[in-house]
Amino acid sequence: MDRSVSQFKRILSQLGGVGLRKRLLRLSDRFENRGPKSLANRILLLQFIWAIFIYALVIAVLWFATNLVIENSVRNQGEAWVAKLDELGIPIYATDDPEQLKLAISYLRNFPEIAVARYLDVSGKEVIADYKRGDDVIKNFSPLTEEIIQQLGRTDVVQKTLLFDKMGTSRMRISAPIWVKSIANDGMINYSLDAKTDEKVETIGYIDIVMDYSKVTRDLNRNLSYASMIIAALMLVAIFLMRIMVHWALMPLSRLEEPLTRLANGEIDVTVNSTGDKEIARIGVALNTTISALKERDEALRQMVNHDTLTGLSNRKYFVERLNQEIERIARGGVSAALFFFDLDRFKYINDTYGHAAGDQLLIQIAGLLKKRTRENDLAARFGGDEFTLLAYNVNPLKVHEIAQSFIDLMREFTFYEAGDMLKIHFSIGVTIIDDGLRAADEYLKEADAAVHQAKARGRNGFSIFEHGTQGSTAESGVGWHDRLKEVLLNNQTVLYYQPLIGLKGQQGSMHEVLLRLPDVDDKVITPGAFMPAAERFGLMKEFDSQVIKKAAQVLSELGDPQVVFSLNLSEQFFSKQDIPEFLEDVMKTHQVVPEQFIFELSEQQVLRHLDELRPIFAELSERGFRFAIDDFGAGFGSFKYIKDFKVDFLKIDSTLIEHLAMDSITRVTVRSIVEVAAELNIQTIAKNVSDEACVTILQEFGVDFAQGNHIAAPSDKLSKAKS
Amino acid sequence: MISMHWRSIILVSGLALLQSCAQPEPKEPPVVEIAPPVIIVKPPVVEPVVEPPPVVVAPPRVVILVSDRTTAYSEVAKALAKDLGERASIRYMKGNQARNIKMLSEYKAEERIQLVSIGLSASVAAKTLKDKQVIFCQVFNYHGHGLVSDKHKGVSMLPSISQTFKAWRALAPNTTDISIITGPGFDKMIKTAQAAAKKVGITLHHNVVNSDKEFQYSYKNMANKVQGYWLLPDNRVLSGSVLRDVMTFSVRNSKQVAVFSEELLNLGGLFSVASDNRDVARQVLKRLEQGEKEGDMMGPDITYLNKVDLRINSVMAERLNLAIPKQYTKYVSSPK
Repeated sequence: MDRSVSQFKRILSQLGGVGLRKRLLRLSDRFENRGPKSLANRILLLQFIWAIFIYALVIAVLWFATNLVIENSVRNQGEAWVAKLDELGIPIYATDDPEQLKLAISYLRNFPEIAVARYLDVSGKEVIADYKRGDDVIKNFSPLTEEIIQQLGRTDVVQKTLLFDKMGTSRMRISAPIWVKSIANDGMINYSLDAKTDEKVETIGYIDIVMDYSKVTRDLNRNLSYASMIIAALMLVAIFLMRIMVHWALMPLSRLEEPLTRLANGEIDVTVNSTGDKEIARIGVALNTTISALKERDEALRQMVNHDTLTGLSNRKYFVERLNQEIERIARGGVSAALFFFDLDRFKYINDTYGHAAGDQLLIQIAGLLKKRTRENDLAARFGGDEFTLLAYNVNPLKVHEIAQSFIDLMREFTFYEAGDMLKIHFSIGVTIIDDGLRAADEYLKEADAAVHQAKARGRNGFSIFEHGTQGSTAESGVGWHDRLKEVLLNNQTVLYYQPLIGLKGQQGSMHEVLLRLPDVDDKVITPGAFMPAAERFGLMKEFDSQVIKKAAQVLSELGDPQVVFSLNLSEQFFSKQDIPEFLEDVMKTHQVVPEQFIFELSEQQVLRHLDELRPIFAELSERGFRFAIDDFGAGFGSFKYIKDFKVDFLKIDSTLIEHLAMDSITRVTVRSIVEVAAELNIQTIAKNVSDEACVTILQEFGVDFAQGNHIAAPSDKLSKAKS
Repeated sequence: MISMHWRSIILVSGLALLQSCAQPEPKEPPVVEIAPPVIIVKPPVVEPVVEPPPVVVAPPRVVILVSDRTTAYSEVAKALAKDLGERASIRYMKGNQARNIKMLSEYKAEERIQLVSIGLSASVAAKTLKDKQVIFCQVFNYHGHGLVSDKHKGVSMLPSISQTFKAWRALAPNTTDISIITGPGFDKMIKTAQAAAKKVGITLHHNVVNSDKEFQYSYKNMANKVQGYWLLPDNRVLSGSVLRDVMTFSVRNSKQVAVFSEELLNLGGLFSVASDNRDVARQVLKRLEQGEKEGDMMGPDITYLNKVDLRINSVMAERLNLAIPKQYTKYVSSPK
């Protein structure tokens, strides 16, 4: 329909006549912009179109049928008139008396349907007598052609040939022969009415008439007009009645409009009437069912949007919303509230050591504790990975102390059981009291975060309440790290440290582990232990990894020695990049270095967690020449099972194993086994944290390929050779 | 008791009749029929005084040419053959007129021969035998076909005109004007008829027309003048449709119509008048005898009949309020 209106408008725009065009365009605009269509009107429109169609059809059929009847009637009348004129014409052929002629012809004046009548001689050319009604001008009334005369003049037919020629819409020309007959010779003796006596037929002339039935046609058209007007009026009445009926019939449906509109506007506390007509009742029931389902889904969505799926606590987004509301309330003079920030101390260790499932379990249990201890009206939330927050309403500093202490006490009693291990979990609590509502939510969050760091600095399982002027810069807190790290990345300020690896089997070449550092004041650097959690929390690790790779490539490029190989630690976040091969290829091209100069390290835990995702990446990058090392192998769930079908070039034996190598026989057996199996798999081994010469000797004895540690060479910002 | 003399006459006549009946029908091509022997009952012989015996000249043979096997023709032929005895022979015409004429050419050389032609086609064929005496009959429009000549004469097809008007007068005493409509060529006959009509107090009007249409027109035009019409069997101006039309017109307008065929009584004719076949045969015989005696065909071109075969439509008579006289009740015929 809309497309039709557009087409209509396009046609209008091409029309001449500015005034009319404007008016029509206005009309079409109004039609186009008249808002949503009504079902009742649509039904009525369809009925109206249908009625128009039927009306047109009826009138057309009526007109056609009546015309057909008239034409047939005129033909029959024509035949009768030919017979009559045949009889009337006898004097014309039988006598030369002009009076008789006039008498015969004058008879026709009483019959207006005869427009022209002509009596022709036997040749069909000469008019013996003719009659013409008034001053009528008959167009195309030409003399009979030879062909027609020949056709009419046939006497070897049972009946006379009559030719009908329609002249326009209301005239018909009829031509017929005039016959005389005589009974055959000797046919009179024993004349029988029944027997078919031969008769001799002779044509003595022709009758040529034009019948005018325009009056009948006019009458017909007039009557048809009346009839069509009556039919149209009846149809209008019918449509009007139909409109009432349709509205009446659709009334139950119309009643659904109001609840459905409310529903469409987001209200789900709507009930649709499900009584009355069967069909409507079914719709009502269906809608009510749908509304119930919507309510449930809405609740589920609300839960999903505002809550953390793992712990069931409110999520960060919802918490911040509520925090803002509370700040506004307090700003309007409300009673003060407190924002608690909880940070688990050993969550990363649990996650790395026991896996994510264990980490998740820990989070669920912590959340359970928070829920248990939280007052009914307070709001607890999982703010980030291992960070929880609590908004305690209507509290004073004393109450804040009380709450914080209760949480500390609770955690002291808490023990986390995993893989048969009993683990004591601690967390630090930072609290800020919102008593003026003058700052934004993130400011209060930074205050709480700063308080957490202060609590951490004091030792585990403690809490700290933020106090203005007495607290350190928020930049020192986790919240402050974000800006700092972003700044480092933006200014390409990462610092690379290098720790060399020595070949225990006299291998050639120079291998270094590249270590990430951040610049600090006084030409000092910050080690990863300080910024890595924040960088991971803020999702910045892949950017750091990318920058380290680029810088390492640049260094290798400047060295121009293909024997120099760098081993780089990559985070899990780096492998979430979609374009790792392209990125690395681009770096190689930019700095004119080869992939064989790079070894990428991932911890065993990282590999195990993302085995399926990493396998194709490792395979593709190995194909290009990059090599991989599994770091901290043997620390957790070390297993050779996955290494068999995993493209790994090096195993870096976990430092705890190396540290206890000299003292613990089981460790030695473990290391030996690792080395032997690795050798069997054509994987080279690297020993970390080698602390003395005795250790080097043992490692050589076990067949370890490389060793690194402060004993060999401490990390430095300068590339140096290891002590041999 | 019937005397032996009459018994023998009846017996012989019966045998003769049986023989004639047993005679096989002539087959195509034309078969010559031999007339049954005629038994002549002689009166008692009176011895002549002394008279020399007259010279006996054998009468000419008579060939009866019949147009077709229509009853009206063959009955006349049979009656003639019966009367003429061995002299007569009957020949039926074929459909092809040229063959008929060729067939008749064999009689051209025959000296002592008379011909009777019954019906139009036989008469037209016989017209070619100009030197022979020919009597034609059962032809209405003889004038149109030029059948009359010095040696060719005819017997009218019409029944007795005087008898017809006599019967009409008896049936409709009040009738004063009657019309006859024919094609051209009947002036003499019409004059005879007008004279006969006048004798019974009827004025006979005559119109000459050229086609069935004119007939129809003339018929209706005269309706105001006459109370009745005599439809003559002139095929030239009659057609089936016109016959039906004028008969219908007559019934509607209560006109008395004398028709030429009994069948037309069904269409509303008051009475039908037709020729009597034996009367026709008798008149033909008379003309033959006349020709034989005089050696030439003297007398009128057409000999009129003396009798009429009358049939009265009682229904129409009643409708026209006409009382059928007692002496005519035997002619009453109810239409089918």
